[in-house]
Amino acid sequence: MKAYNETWVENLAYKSSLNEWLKKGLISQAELEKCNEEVRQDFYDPNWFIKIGLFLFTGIAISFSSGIFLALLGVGSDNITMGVFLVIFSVLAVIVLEHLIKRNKLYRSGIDNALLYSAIGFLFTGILSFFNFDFVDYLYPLLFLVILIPAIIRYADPLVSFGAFMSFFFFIFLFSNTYSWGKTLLSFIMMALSAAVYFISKAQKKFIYYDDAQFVIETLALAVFYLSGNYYVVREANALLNNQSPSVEIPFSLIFWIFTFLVPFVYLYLGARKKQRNAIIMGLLGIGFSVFTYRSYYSVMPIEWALTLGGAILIGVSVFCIKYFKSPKFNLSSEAEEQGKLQKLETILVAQAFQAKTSDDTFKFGGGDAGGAGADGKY
Amino acid sequence: MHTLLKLLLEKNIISSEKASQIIAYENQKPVSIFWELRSLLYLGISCLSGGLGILIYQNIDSIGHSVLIAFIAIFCLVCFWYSYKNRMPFTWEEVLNTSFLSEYSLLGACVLFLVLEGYLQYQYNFFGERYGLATFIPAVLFFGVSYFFDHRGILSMAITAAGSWLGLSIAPKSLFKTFDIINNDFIYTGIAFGVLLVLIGWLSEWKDKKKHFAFTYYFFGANVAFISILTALFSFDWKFIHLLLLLTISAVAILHARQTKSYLLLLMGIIYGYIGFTYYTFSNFNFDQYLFFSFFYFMISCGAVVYFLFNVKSILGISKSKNV
Repeated sequence: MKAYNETWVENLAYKSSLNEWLKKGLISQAELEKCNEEVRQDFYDPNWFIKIGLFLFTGIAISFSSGIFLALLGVGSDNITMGVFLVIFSVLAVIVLEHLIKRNKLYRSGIDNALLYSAIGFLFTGILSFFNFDFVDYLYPLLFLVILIPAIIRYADPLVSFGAFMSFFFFIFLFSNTYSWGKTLLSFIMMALSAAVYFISKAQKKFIYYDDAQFVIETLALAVFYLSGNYYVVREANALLNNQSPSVEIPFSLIFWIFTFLVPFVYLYLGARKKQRNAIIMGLLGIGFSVFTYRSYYSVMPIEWALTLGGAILIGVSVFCIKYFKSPKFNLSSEAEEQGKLQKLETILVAQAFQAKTSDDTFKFGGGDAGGAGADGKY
Repeated sequence: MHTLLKLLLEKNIISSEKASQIIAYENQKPVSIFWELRSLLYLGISCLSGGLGILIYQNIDSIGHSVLIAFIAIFCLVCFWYSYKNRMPFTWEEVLNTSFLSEYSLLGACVLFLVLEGYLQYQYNFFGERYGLATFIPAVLFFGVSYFFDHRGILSMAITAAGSWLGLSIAPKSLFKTFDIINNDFIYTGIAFGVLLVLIGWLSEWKDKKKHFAFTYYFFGANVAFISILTALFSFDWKFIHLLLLLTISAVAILHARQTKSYLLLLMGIIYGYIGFTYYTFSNFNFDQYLFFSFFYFMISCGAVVYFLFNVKSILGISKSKNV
């Protein structure tokens, strides 16, 4: 069933909590060493930069080795032959993948990711070319989903689970649109299904092996649930599906307004109570999008005042929260869990946002767009 | 979690007291929303500065330039003063637990300084034709400030300002967007500047002076040096000499990993070196006629790179111990 050594995957997870306990002084160094004996794992675990390089170059190597055969076949060959070759590539990629995982103890090392993704890609395009790329639109995501599900079960890859989730909801979206009742009930169908996916995934927490994949699915389910109840999304999607421009008022608009503003706060509350960081983030993003939604239909004040006041309020709230949560309250804390890792990235981003311009264009800007990070025409 | 504890209890590695302590810790452990709040703060600052920018732009006639300049100057000084008052004592080590407010006010002060300078030049032609001075002053100031207050964000602002002074536009986005960022005249300046930055980073690591600044130096320095030299390779004659130069720098970058066990430079060296080498190969051999050879070239060369990366530790003789 599972491609990677499951005990090792579990031990990998245990190891990080052991290290955390050591840092908090809950276990001693001697105890940690004894524990580490118990939770041994021997995956090939290189540095992140190496993983990126491995992924990149494996990907190029795969595409050119398959390219040789496709070039041999020539452009004029029929779809069936091409399909056969693509399926053969897919099988080959899986064989190499399985072999390398066993022999070189790979685990999300870049090489296995690249092989897995290309195997999926080959199989998908291979099957499509058997059918001359001629499907009803909703069958494309369905086919993709059917290919991805076994891949999730065997490899538990987060990106694959992302693809599976997206193709599932894409399928639902396109399929409902073929019926008139489906169009009307679309947002309710999406909400119900995303809630169902979320709770089913939450209830199935038997295997650490699937933790990352499930985390991705749950986070996406939260996002889809909010978005499919959001007034802006519902109204604009409705207009798009019925070819109305500009969009018109939708039925049950009150319900959607309630969802728009209630759901993010529910996420925040439950996220804090159940210690779900993804729910907290989705709640924050949701509040931002809800404000945007409201502003899209009811103009309260001109954009510059909205930005100024909104910015001031945001700064005030975040400064207050950083001070307020310094000592943990409601399961939340504003102290960094581990310093350093993301801070390196932050410094690079700072240089992007607040740069000194070159001599050529330093003196072209007026008071309006002087150096401010958000002031480069996005608003 | 509980499976782990059960296992450890069975093997008598930890006592049951300890286990209950750990369970208690896990139950009360709060969620850290450090990054969420920080991102909100950045977002707020961006909105506020953008909104204020537009507002001022619209009302500049009624406010008046001198009032505005005075206001920016005062605000800039207040920010500097606040961070100075709340500073930590200077050390060559990384300063931990700085107060985030003084960190941000320092950042604000530096941004305001840039705004002020640009404004003065725009309105009153303050620096006249001496454009260099306008980027040289912030570069020097920011380098000083970043070391004094131990602020990596300002260090990267200082590096970009120094780059501007040399005529290079090296903010990350423009770095990656196009290879044309560097005017042909500045290519060799770019190479020298990049190498210099990497050297400074290496020195700070070696001499243990602000070791944690090394990453920023490496990131900017290596990218500037490699991109400049690739541009030279693409657009100048003497291609073989440029290729040799590129491969030399790549080799140095790869060997650097052996000394520090950090792999950022190694990855950059490999990627840029590969691009340059491939370009050189294809510009000299007519692969159009031998299409298959070009496929085989990529297959074999990428395979070789993967093999190298996979076995990098044993090839370079790096010991097993990990260092991120």
